[in-house]
Amino acid sequence: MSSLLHACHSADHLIGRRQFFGAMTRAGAGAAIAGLGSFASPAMAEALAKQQKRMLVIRLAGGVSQLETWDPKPRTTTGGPFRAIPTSVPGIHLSELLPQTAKQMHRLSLIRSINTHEDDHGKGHHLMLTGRVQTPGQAWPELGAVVAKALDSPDRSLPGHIVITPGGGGGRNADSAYLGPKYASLVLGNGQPPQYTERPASLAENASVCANDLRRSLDQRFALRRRTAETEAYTQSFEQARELMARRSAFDVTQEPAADHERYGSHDFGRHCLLARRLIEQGVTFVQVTHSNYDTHNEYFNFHFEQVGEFDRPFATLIDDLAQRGLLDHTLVVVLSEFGRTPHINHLYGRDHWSKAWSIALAGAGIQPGAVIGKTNNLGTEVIEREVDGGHLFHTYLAALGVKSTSNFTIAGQKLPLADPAFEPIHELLM
Amino acid sequence: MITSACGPHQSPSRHRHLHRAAAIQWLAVTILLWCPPSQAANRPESTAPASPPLRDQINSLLARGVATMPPEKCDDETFIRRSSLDFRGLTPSASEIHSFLADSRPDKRVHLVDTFIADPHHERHLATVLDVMLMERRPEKHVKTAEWKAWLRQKVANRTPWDQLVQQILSAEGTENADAPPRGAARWILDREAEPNTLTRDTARLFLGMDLACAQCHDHPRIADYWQRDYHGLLAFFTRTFLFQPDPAKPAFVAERAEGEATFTSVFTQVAGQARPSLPQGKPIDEPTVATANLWSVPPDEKNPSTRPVPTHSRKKALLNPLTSSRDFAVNAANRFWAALLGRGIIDPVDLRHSANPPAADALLDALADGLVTLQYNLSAFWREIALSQAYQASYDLPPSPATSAATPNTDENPNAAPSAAAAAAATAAATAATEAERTARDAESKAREVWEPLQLTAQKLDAEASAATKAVTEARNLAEAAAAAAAQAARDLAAQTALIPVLEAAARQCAEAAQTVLDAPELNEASTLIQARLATARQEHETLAGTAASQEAEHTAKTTALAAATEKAAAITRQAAAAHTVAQTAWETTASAAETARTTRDNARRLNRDAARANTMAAWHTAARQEKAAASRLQTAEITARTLASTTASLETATTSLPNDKELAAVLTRLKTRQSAANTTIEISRTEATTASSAATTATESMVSSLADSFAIARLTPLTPEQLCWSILQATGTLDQLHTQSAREWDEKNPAPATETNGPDPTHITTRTQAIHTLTEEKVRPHEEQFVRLFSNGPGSPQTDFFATSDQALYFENAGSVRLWTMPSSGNLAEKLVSTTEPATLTATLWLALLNRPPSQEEIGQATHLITSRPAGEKAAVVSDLMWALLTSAEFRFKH
Repeated sequence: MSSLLHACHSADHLIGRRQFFGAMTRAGAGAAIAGLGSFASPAMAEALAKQQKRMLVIRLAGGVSQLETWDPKPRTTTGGPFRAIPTSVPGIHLSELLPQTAKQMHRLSLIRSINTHEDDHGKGHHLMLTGRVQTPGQAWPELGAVVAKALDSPDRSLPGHIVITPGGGGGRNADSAYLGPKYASLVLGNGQPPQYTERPASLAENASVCANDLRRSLDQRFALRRRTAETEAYTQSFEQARELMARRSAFDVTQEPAADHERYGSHDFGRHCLLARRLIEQGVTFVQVTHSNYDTHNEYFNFHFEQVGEFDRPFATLIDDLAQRGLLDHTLVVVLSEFGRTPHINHLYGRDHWSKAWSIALAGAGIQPGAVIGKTNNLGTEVIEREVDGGHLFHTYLAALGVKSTSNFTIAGQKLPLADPAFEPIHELLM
Repeated sequence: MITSACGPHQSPSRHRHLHRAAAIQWLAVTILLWCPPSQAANRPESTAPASPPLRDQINSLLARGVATMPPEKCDDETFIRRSSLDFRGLTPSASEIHSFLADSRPDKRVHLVDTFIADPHHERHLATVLDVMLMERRPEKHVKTAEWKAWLRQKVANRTPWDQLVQQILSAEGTENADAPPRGAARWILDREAEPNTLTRDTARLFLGMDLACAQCHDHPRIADYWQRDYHGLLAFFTRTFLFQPDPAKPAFVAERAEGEATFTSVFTQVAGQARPSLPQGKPIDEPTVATANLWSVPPDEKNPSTRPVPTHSRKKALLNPLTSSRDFAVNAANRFWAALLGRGIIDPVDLRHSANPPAADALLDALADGLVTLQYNLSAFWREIALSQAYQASYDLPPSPATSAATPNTDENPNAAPSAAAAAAATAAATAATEAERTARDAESKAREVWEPLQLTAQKLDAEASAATKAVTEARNLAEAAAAAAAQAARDLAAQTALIPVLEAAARQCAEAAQTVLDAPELNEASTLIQARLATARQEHETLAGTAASQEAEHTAKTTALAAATEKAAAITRQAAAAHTVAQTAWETTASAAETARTTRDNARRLNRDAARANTMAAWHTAARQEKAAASRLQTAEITARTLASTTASLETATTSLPNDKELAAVLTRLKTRQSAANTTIEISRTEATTASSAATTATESMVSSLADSFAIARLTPLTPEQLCWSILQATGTLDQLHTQSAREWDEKNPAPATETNGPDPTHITTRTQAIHTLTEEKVRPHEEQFVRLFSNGPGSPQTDFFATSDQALYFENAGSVRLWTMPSSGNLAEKLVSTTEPATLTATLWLALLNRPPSQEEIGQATHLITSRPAGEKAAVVSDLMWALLTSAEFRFKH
């Protein structure tokens, strides 16, 4: 049968691979290489897949204003020109720049009492994405790497940590520190599929199948007397690569219905949100989408009007879709930034960097919906209730995902805490 | 071992010249290998003659049992691949393998390693190893990576010893003075932003083998001997260092302040301290006292901020000699450079040297550290010794099959022919006893600690009381002194008043006399009255003052008594405290000695348990193999019996048809059939037993493999570095030859050979040409190398030895153009040669030797032949490409073994 397809008389490559793994398992290779779609039935697989915890981070790069989003102070000297509007949760108001998001408020929660003490872009970003203050000589893994490792399972055939960047580029980021490149983010520059997943036209699939068959048999022979975890990992990486090639469409946002493209908007951020939905749906553990250009020291209100306006619809659509599809219960969504913006309006009619009293929004897995944590004063110049720092937030994300945030990774014999041990989760926000 | 800070380095024998004969022989070989070295004249003599060569010391330690299983020596194909990768950073070529296999000299491995050390690839590779170790692929910031690499390359070419290299990178400041090292040398500090904590952490890790990072903010929570004060003692050397860049558009330099100390507060205990500059667990170094007026040799200039200040005394430079002459420095270097070859440190991980992670073999590590110092930190010579030792040449493979050795009984002459279960049991018993001793020692330690802790608390409490009493003494003394002063003042006041009274009395008397003498002078009577009144007042005041003086004096006496009482009390409590301290100290000594015993017994138990585990694994392996063999033999016997019975039964049945009424025959037949059925049952049972035994044998073999893999003295299966992988692929596919030919053509076009008087080629021209072509070839390889580094290296600033395999790497092999391209035939490459080879077996042999550096097995020849012949002749190039791709992506190619 399949010998008709392949001159080397290979069986179908997928079967070939399973046989290969079967042989390895029989030889006592250990359970770590089981999986790759080995569920008993598709329905069961789907049910299990849905319960898998996931995380989606939307990073508003440059520093988004809390006053024009989550913590409006209308009709005050610091409040700016925009009004506050009621939301689907009575008593909670958002800026009028978020009309669609306001309708999703019953699925969202807000933290309005963040004080991160870092007014520098780099340091603020570091604190928000690693949950630790930047210290010279120390590298900490970013949230995506920590989550991808903590929630890793051998069944994953897609990478666990994906970052969709607004610009181009691709490859692998160096954001996993001591967790190693396995958990470093795979970059999808402007939402393009990963590098080298497309087979060059000059190469026949047939040839590749035969070559891989020979490679497998060489590896099996080598493993007979010299098997280590490292040779296994190497051999497996080729199977993962082939799986990734086979599932290249997972990254292809153009396969989403035209109506959905319409609903998310034709701009990059809308497309990236739709891609994020697609990836979350396919079981990717951690996805990060970036929306940039919030660092507006002058002509601020025009810029924020445009940026927040562009953010509102795709974000609200995404939350709604995830909820409709039953994914929100297992997916933690966080909208964050490196800091907020000053309540004081400067002489260029803008707001500057401000980390003393700002906000983020969360939704999904393990988070109480419709909750508001903390409070700022009337002018938004100070936190007056339940002050939290970046460390608390990092613990909270992990706890919401069902990961014990006070536990450790053991790396090369060293126990390294998942999150800064000086902090703990915001317990009242968790379900 | 080391007598002075830099004593050994001043030896004139450091750069001995190569012996003439050896040079000629080596030249002959290297010309064959295409590149003569650039620094032939500087190659040092291999080993110092005084002590036995390091390799012999390693071998005798191995024989003494630091590694419990002296393994087999690897075959020549394995040795040439392994050592070529380790010394030159690429796999050997087919022709090199042929020559090595054909070499019949008994010391051909020595010759091979020497040839490799003389090869220009050795310089390139060693420079890369050092670059990766020192910079850990940090991104370029203030110094161009190319300048740093060029500087390192120069140092390697000059055979600069490791200790001097470290001194140079730590003292480089990036200035362009004539006497300063090139700017590249300053990259180690500048691209760490000259940040004191980063410099401290990496100095501790890279040069002392201790990752003290966790001790920056508090004593290490889990490692007993990583202390915050050690971190800050080391930090004190760097705390005055800073990045000097007044103009962001211009280059940055390293600069130092004249003052500044390392102060710290534990975030756990809030205990604060200030550290004097010292090595971890070392004494503070002596520092010169510099007068405030002389702090600077170039003072900071506020008017001219571009002046780089230079202090008279450099804290950072004060580190250099204590650092590189310390034992820790030698031990770390020996461990790291051993790990570079063997794939694992004797202390592993190499960054975590502390009492709870002791060396797997102290004696071996000591010998290596001593050997490295004896070799004056010459890294090539050190590697050479390791490579020629049994440890390096051990086969990463199983010992002889137990099926063979199981047949050899243990004898007195050969007790290890088959490690017996009894030996394993003895080892287990010893380990159990040692574990028990460890427990006892630990109990003793905790009991001693229980005694000591309350005593220590009591002593501390008494200290506090003594301190309070001493304070009370001070207060009493102050009061007594105040009372004394007050009493003295009152006495003085009284004395003054006492002196006044006779004066007034005399005046009163004289005035009264005057009034009686001079008549009719009423003013005198008035004056007399006034004086009398004044006298009365004075007497009254005197009485008051006398009262005050008396009471002040009484007060003074009381306070003096109180002071004496307080002093006595304080002295008593201080005596008590001292006595308590003496008792506590004795208890502490008992505790410390118990702790030391506990440590020793723990190490002993650990070693014996390891030995027992190995002995048991080995014994289990042999037992399983014996049982597998016995079960197979039983099955065979059962089958023979059954077959014999079957054939006998068959003939009897034939006989029965001829003699149907022969009762005896019928009876025999019945008995035979019963036996036959029993025999079949036996077969079933034997078959099940054989299967079970076989699978048990497989499991036991796997345990053996992993036990071998865990043995620190056997070269570990190590992934090729990104650079090794890139160069090896280029070498194996013949692409390197192509690039070399291309470089030669380019160079020759620009530099025609000069005519010489003797008509022979000009030797200078040949040397220059060879070097230039090598450099050109390296430049052509560089972009590929960079691509491999991007894909296969660990993150910047983290250890680069951790292996990982990701799908993007595999995807690169699958779909990126370059690797596929190198497997397509083009002028002079391997694919071209293979396509033109007609005989599949020859093709397979050539392919396997070039890529895997070994001949193919019969099974592999069969498989490859099948692949070649099953596809049309027109697809030959595609088949060759597939075969090459499969071999290049195999685990066997990806790892050093």
